[in-house]
Amino acid sequence: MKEHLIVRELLTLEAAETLDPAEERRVQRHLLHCDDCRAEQSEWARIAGALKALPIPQASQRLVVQTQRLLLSAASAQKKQANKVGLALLVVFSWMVAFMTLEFVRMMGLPLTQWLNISSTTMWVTFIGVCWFTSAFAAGILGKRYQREGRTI
Amino acid sequence: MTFESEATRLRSGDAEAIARLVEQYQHRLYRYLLRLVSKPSTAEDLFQQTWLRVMERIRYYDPRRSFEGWLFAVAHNLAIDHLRRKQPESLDEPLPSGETQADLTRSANPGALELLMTKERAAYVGEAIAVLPVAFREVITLRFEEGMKLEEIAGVLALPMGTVKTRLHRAMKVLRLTLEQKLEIR
Repeated sequence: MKEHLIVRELLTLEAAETLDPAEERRVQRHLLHCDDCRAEQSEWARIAGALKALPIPQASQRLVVQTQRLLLSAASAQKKQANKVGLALLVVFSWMVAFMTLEFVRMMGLPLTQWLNISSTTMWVTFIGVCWFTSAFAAGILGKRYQREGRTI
Repeated sequence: MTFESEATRLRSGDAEAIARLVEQYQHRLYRYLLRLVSKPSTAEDLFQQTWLRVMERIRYYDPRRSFEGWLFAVAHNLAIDHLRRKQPESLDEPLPSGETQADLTRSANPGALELLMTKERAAYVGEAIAVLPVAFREVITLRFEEGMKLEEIAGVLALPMGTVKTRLHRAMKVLRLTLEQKLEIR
């Protein structure tokens, strides 16, 4: 009797196909000689069959297209943000390099400053200015190219 | 193309990768959300929120785990958060509270479903699922409609497998009781 009650309880999971092998064997053994449980099994199988055959609500094409557009817009915003962060880091790096070059330019540019009769600071500022202009020009061209290709830094 | 390469492209904001995944899972994800929240407009909102969340967190996705399980887990969390805001009552499975085995297994009309044609049966079952508690609706949907195994369901719901098995067992019993009550009324 106890076995009967245990197997009867297992029939739900048998219909859901979630029994482990030992449970499955136990149920099948019992069903061989229990009409009651076989009738129960049929009923559970009907319920399980109906569950598997439920109509599938369809997501509308409008929803799919809207979602895709939303994602693309979010991805584009993320890219722009990444670009801004990348550019900010480049600017900081550039200023660090610029200040690090001050002594170097003073030493190496000494003959030139004497010949042009300008101070080393003026020399340095001019040097930095030329570097910045060249970098900005190169960055602009690179940025346009990346934009066309849809790439980030 | 494997999902790992798709995930890499998704992470980089590849438009085609995004579009492919949304299309691949559109009906299944929508159906799952609709079963949970019942309202099509809410299911649509959650559908979009799920994909946005997926895109935000794709870099944290572990490729060793099934993407489907991860996607449904994200959807599950969003749906449950929504339902907690909207419904004051608990979303957890109802406690047995004194119900006996007899209560759950007694059938005034055993074999009642046999009397119904297949289409009718599906309609009744659909109606019966809609009135189940969310916890039961969800586990039945994941097992029978999404075809997920117990381990996958456990991953989606972040529950031990034993708990999922017990919940599924109880859910089916309550579903059957609800069905038979409906059929008695008709």
